Amino acid sequence: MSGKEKLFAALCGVDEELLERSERGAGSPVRWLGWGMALAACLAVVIAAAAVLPAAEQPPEDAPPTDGDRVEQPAGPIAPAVLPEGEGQYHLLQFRMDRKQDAPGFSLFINEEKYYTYEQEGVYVIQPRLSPENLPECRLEISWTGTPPEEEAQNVKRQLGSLYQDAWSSQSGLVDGMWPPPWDAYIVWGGNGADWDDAQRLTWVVGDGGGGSFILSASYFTEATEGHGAMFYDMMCTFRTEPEGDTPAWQASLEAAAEALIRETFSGMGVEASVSSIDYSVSQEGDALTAQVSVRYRQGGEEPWETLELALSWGDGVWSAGAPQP
Amino acid sequence: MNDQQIIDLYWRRSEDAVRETEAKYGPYCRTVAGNILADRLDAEECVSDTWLRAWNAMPPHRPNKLRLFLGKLTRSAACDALRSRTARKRGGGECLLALEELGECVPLVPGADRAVEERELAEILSRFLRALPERDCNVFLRRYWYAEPLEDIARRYGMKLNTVKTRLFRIRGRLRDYLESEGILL
Repeated sequence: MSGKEKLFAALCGVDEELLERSERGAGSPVRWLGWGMALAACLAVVIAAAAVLPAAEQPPEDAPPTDGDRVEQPAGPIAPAVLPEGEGQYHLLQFRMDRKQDAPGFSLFINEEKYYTYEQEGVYVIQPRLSPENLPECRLEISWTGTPPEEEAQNVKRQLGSLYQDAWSSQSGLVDGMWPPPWDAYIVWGGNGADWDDAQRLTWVVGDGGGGSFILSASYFTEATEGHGAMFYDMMCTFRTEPEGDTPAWQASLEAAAEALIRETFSGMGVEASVSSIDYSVSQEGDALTAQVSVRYRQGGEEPWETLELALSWGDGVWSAGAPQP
Repeated sequence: MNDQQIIDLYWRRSEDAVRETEAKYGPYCRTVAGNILADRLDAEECVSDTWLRAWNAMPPHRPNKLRLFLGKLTRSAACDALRSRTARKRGGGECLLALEELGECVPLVPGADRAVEERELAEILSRFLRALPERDCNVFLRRYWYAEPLEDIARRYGMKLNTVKTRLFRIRGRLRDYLESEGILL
């Protein structure tokens, strides 16, 4: 029996209580809180734009948020939080693209201690702060086009075919020897060989939800695959397009609080982390609103991924670390 | 007829046991089998096999939750049928997709030498799942225990399809990391 078949078969024996819970339907859905909650700055250490809103009737469970629930998000990079004084500050930057033409916005998590960002002729570039001389350049570029992903993937493949010795593309997320994208994307790869300094280029072409495509392209050399290559992969995994309209206020405050707590936690641990995903799971029982945040990270391209679990609870108009007070 | 009464029929070796079970849990077991085998006739055969397994299991078993007990028997029978079908190179629909996805969870750590029995692996999986947020655990089980299509899972929990895919991807990664940290060899 193969490994996957063993896992599939072993699942027959999982706790019945877990199965029963999954059969109870929607479980603890994320509810649109909208005007039901007052908002304020999330944690004392966070500098964020937030407004204090008056408490009001909580809307029905399935009601979509009204326009009044959303707050304007500042365009451009979000300033990192001001951390308490001490050694080993950890900067996690959520970089947001200014909306141009019909391009949707996007966000991406970057370790600002190791990488810096800039825009160059409509392309967003992320590069290492320290680049030793005489080594091939490493960079991550993000651009947008109105062309659909399938067509754009072919364009990129032609382009890489002219720049690199070998080039191929795949529609499937599972490619031997490659970490896969966490969502549907076309993978296009170009490379000049397997020598330590041969150039490699990994590109993901992903739909923007509106008929266009984002192109995420990581350039590095063979020796840097487990270094910058891995860090770029982690950053690319955190890429997401911003929804039409603005982020709901309660969601923005939760994300800001969680991000500040993540920075503070990594700083306290003395960890230089490369984050590849931040997952939020929100649940509500009665008046108690809690969130669990799972951060998948690693301390280098050759290190195993680890998971940081954080719990937040809503009280007195702010998200705070820990379980709700009785 | 309630579950206790049905179980009593099995213990009394009454022929009505299977008829009552079929009436109450036939559709449920057919759904479990159908998701895995994607073939109506194979699923029917699997459900018939389930009644035989239930007859052989009770007594001595007296399950607390008859529905889930039967669901597990059905799933186990369906897994056996799928293995046999795969060996004969026949299709398996959604379940084969789910099986391929689970391939990402197999630890890649060289030197892992702790081979485990299926029961111990089930306990390890239960421990992992209990530590997940409830929503993540539910989504994982709907996909890999029930072999539910992704669209159905999204609809069930009011999530976007891409969110379900992304969430499953991350959970699979975490499961692989967990199995590697336990030194499990599969």
